Amino acid sequence: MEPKKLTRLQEEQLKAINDTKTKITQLEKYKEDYTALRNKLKTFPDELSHEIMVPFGKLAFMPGKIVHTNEILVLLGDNWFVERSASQAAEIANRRIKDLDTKLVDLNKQRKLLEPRLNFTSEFRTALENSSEVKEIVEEYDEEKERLWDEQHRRNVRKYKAELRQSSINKTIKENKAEGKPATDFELWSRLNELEMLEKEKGELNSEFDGDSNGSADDISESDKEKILKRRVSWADVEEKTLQRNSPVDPDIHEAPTDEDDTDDSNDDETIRPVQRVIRFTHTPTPTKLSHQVSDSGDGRIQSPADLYKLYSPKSILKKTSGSGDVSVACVKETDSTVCDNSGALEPFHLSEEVEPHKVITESLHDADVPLAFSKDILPPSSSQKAFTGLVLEKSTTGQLKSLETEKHIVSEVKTSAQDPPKRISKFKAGRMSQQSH
Amino acid sequence: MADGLQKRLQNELDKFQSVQKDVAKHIGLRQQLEGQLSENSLVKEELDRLEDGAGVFKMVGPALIKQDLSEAKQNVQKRIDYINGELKRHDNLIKELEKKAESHRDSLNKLQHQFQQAQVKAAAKS
Repeated sequence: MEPKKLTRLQEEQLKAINDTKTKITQLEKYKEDYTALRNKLKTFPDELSHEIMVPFGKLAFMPGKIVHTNEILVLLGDNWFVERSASQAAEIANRRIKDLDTKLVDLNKQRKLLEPRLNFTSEFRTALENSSEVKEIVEEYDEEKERLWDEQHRRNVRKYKAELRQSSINKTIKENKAEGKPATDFELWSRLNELEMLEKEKGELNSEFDGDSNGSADDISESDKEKILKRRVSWADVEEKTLQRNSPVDPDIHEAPTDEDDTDDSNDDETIRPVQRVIRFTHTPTPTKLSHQVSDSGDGRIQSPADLYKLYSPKSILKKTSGSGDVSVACVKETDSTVCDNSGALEPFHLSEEVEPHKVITESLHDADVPLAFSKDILPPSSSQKAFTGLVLEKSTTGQLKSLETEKHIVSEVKTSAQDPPKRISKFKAGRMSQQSH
Repeated sequence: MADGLQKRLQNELDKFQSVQKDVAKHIGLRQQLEGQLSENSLVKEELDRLEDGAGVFKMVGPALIKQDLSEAKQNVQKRIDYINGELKRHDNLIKELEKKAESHRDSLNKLQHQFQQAQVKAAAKS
């Protein structure tokens, strides 16, 4: 810091302190005056009239008397006067003294605040000048750079936190492996959640997977899951691996990307079944028009925002975990004994939007009362080969692409393997292909 | 080019200073109003303490004119309200003026930068 700036700073601080000091002195004077006045007022009633020297102009006095000493006109402020007796006036004076006191206290506090600042600056200055050991550390402040650094910092923090989360997940996996069978359902489900998240992240991170490499990844993650699941569940002779690619799939329909909780869940359920399940289904030809119908305008003419959706089918912004149009629910439900009774002639499933696939699974599993301990017995004999037959009714509010996604949903469950992440094909390609198929 | 810049700089500076003066004036007015407000609130307190029948006088010029106590109270209250309103108005004015001053300051800075750059260039050329 240059000495000039320091002197300037000192000047300002000194000025502030001096201002406060003058105010303090002024107030103290006022206070003295008021106390003197009050004392005088108290003595007035002592005598009938007081003899005084009356001031005459600036330089002269005259002997005189004060009479009517009990009538005092007090100036209240703003040209308002009030007639008071001596004692009352004395009371007024007291109050004013009190006010002054409080103000004085404040001013003193202020002065006490300011003085150390001045002292510090002076010390700093002398230290700089005198000793060569004391060096000044100057950090240059450039607003632009600071802003850039700030952004970078935020990004780093986010990355770090993501890594932490990842590592904590890994840690919990290891811990669980070490622990053994967790006791409660709740723990199991939280465990499953963690695994799903883990797989999600893995799926997100591995964004350039081909179909082939996918397989291996699937196997690995699948085997991980199985291992973990195996600890808690007593698999009978389950041939999970065989199920992975056995179920016939509509070749045109490819699987959706991994980030679907329901697919994972349903895939889990699929692998549980010891018997190979075939799910055949047909789709309703066109997306059924539901309550979102608006007045049908002329072809190509857009009269209301809803018409847009007829002309251009935008990609759904909903997460795939949302219930609408989610057929995965239906498939999972099949494991529940109650639903499977309709194996013969299933009416088209109208999936309510409220039903969350995950919830359904939970319920069904809880009904079974043995978390994940599926054995052949639970599965009803009636649905021997056909897990789900029937018409899949698709709720599409957003047109063709939505139905496309539901198709993907279904396909991913059909593949009884829990392929995480399943075969990855870009949605556009999938869309094109499905459109070709239709 | 440099001259033009300089002229603009000078202009901006003048405007800025005038705005600052306005700001200072209004701040002074505001402080005065604040003083009056505190004074009047004191008066009101004292008037409240007065019992009925006590003589209240208003100083109009060199004369003291007797006033009714309730009337006096009302007057003082009205004055307080009026001062409050004036205070708010002044506050708003001050805020606006300060904003103007800010904008002027910013433009001044920019112009100064440009001017300096122009000077540097001129120096480099010559």
